[in-house]
Amino acid sequence: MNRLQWLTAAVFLFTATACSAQESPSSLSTPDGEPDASRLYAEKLREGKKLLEQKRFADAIKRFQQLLQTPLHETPNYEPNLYLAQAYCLSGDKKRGREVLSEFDCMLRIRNGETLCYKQEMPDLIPNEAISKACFETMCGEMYLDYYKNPTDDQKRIAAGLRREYAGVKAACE
Amino acid sequence: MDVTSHEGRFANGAVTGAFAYAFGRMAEPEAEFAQMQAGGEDFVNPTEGGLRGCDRHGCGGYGASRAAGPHDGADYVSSPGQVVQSPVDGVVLRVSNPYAGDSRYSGLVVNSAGGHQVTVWYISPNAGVVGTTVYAGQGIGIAQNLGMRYSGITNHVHVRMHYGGQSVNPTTRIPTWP
Repeated sequence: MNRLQWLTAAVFLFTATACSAQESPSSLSTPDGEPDASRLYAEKLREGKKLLEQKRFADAIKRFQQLLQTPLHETPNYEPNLYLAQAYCLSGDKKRGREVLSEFDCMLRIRNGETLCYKQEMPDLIPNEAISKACFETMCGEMYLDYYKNPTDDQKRIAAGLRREYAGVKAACE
Repeated sequence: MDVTSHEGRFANGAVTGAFAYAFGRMAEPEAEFAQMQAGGEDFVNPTEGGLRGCDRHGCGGYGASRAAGPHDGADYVSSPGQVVQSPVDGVVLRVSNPYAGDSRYSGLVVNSAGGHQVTVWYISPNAGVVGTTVYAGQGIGIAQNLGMRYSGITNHVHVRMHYGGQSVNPTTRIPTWP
């Protein structure tokens, strides 16, 4: 192998290694050193749940409200509503808690494919008017429709877990 | 072709962009692009940019992980304000809104003459383009700035492609180089 061949091989190996690391979806660090957005989100959600356990309801409410203002990349951001409802109910504001829980129920039904965002998709999309504005704006849009029609096993598992938690929060809000 | 023209288009840095470009060419042999000619269709890169790599929000390849499920499309790196080209010859069916709750972002659905349905998101459609016949390479809109919604993201257009009702990996049709 001559010098040029060695150099070519070295460049190829370096390139392959660098690109492989970038494309790994499970990579926790990002190439530009910025914190991974979905990981940061999950961490803040965990912190909010911990505030709930500590009965720091006002702080928990604030945390979940902040999280709901954070767009998740091409993913509907609805899960914190469940814990926001719980925080309201446990803090004594059951009326507000039930309102948020009702919106969450709508969102989860859409995620599970039980409720449709649009009553017609072709040729034009016609919104399902039975859905509240907040539920529609959080969950709908063409980006998400295929996710609802073809949920992964992981998504089914997550949704089933949220449905079980929903039942518990609903009981707390009665 | 000037590799350095890709530098700066990636949030990951110029070196990454150049390597992604070089590696992308190696990973996508010409044989795959024989499909581009199936049915006599021509496909054009809508931004003349590379495939989005990974940033703090995720990766741009087809099937890349999203919290909602696998990425049903491919992301072509763009610069906000640049002209975005139709990837196919066809008819612009309608405007498409990726997010019901965020009217800042939009896109177009184009039905190709060869039976592909192509959705291009994160563009501001040209006025009057809906309902018109367009050719591959014709400007159909302007690239939007995704950074307003997703801080620190690599700007791109999202291309979703269906053929016969099935999802297709756009990079098996659309080249990731100019």
